Amino acid sequence: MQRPLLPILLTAVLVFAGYAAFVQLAPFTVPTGQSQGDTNMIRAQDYLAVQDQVTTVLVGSSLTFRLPASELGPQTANLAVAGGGSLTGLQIVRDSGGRPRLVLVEVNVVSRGVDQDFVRSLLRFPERALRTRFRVFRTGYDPVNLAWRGMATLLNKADFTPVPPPDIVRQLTLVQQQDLSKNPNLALLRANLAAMARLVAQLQARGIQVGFFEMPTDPSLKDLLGEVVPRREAAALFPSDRFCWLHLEVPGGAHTLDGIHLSVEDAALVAHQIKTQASACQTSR
Amino acid sequence: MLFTDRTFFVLLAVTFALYYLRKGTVWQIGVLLVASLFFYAYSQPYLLILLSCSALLSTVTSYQVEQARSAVPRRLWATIGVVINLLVLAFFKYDRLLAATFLHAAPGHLLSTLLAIPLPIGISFYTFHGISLLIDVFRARERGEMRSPLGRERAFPDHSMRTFFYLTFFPQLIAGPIVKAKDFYPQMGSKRFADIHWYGVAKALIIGFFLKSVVADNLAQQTFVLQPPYCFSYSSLNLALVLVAYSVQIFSDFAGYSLIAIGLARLFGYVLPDNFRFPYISETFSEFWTRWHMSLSAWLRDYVYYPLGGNRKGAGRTYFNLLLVMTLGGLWHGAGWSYAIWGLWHGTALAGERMLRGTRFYSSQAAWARMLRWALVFSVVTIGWVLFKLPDFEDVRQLAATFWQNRHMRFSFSVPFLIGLYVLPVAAYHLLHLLRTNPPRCLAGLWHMAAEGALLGVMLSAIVLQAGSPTPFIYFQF
Repeated sequence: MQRPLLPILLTAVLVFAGYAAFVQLAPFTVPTGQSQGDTNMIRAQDYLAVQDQVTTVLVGSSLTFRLPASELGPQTANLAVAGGGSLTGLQIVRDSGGRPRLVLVEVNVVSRGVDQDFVRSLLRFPERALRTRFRVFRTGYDPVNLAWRGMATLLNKADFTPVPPPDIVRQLTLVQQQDLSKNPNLALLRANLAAMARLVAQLQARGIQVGFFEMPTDPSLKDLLGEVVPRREAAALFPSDRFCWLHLEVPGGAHTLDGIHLSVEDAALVAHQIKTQASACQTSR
Repeated sequence: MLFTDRTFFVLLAVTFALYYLRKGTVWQIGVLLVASLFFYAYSQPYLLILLSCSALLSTVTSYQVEQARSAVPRRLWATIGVVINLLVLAFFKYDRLLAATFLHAAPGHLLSTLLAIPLPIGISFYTFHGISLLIDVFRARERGEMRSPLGRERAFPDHSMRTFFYLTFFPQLIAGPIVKAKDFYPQMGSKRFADIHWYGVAKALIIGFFLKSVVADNLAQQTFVLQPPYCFSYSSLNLALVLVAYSVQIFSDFAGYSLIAIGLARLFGYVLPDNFRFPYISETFSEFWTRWHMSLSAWLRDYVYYPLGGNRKGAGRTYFNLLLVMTLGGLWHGAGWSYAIWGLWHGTALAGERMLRGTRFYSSQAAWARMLRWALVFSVVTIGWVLFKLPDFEDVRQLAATFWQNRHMRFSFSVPFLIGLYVLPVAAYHLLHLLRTNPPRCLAGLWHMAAEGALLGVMLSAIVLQAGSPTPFIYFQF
């Protein structure tokens, strides 16, 4: 005799329905996830939920990803993708149908193309439609992300990961120096910049202004090939007489956790500069 | 195509409907054959050429072995089939390793072009299936058995269809389990919808998808930090926990895949062998290898270890055989010397354990001795996985140095918290098995049908609520 499937299905439905009801009524939001990948997705889903109210969108890599939302302000969405690059954010803005006034593009990491799996899973039907109505389908409300959020609230900590000690920072900066000393793959860089130019043109055609910025990094990296070449190529393709360029700098040189990711204090400072210069960028046109 | 892709579920639904639309072996095998080839060719259609050539080789040679009337041509055809299968594997899988070790090809050279051919997915599995087929038929004929493992004698077209089906059956095509010809061919026949064992299918699929999508895919988000330079920022204790998490991840990834394959095969009326039987409860290394990737262990035992003499030719030869078979088994996993060393690591553990078998440590049944033995096996196995995670020796060296260098660094609580959430279900999975097979008196009778059903229901809801970003199965690279 076959064993019945009913207990399995009944339990699954009950657990799912109970959890869905709980998160739908929960009086809190979950801004960060268990991993960078989940936080990328949470931010992108949050952007889709409020895209009509957003005036400025930042796209970029993990360098921009770490800028604090509190300094950027509620009308700025940070669509930078940790582990990815600006192209993914640009494609999300283009394909999601949003119309912010200004999109600011980071040019530090141009070697990474569009993360198509990420964009697809964000925008495809029926998930996108379900997420707008039911929290249970949003990444932030996954049980582990919720538990993670609960743990952070209980312990009153935003981030459990300790800041690395100075000798580790030096070691990581050395690794970055080695990586960035190499000549970047110029063909790949130019192909990605060409893709970026197409996306930028499509956004401009919809009346969206596009500006650019380079995130400050450790002073020892500034003149290395891996930073100089993308800077030069981006500046040639998006000249400052046709595009708005933000000028971000940390007085006395940036302090970082690993050579490229800013310390909490410097990230706040740069976020503030972006907020200030973005408004000037909009009025300059 | 991944088992977690949407396209796969569409293919599965269409195949299932067509399969049971009509009865009859030819129709049903034909449907599965077409579906399997589509499944394999979906992302890289050109790989179908190699798969077809390999299947054709095994078909022709096994047919000749089956039909040969005397020992000489039988042995000749079997040798041709096995050798060419091994050459195909060597050329497409070990080309880079052999070239990097023994040759130096300049860019633009023909050798460089050949080396640029990507590893055909599943090649380690379908060539091993082909070899199994040849050896099973050969051995049966050599023993003078009237009944071949292929069933009754058939005409070549029928044999071709069955052999192509055996080699390409999509649940086991890409990452096993490695099913032996003598166990698979007798199952070929007309299947009825009414005979589907739905509970067995559901159980295998739910546990399989839970292990893969909920545990392995989420742990992958945590274990990438073992790779330098990410590991530099973590304390030694954190890294040790991450290593344990990787041990759980690799189990969940592969055991999950195997269970999905077993569940899918059952949906079409085929029984594939178990591939994992709670390996992390093992108290000895030999027990571990009867519980981990069981179909590969059995393959290596039957087709390599026993022919080498097994343990029948004295202690020295037994140790040598163990080291050789495990090193070859390591190399089967990947074309890199790190995999060979991983195999040697396990071979040494097996040989050492055999040497110390009579000692009190191994003979005592006291709880402390059993715990110590378990801890030893789990630690050695877990440390060995470093070579899977980091096939580059320089990365291994840097990770080892980081363990020493960061021993005083501050402990991050996020690591045990997140890892614990995913490791606990797998630990519970192993513990529940222990409780079910050897229940303490106070818990006897607790486990019954309803409890298992409810647990599977919770796992099913977790698959919907907590599936991680899909990552390729780790064993696809092998």
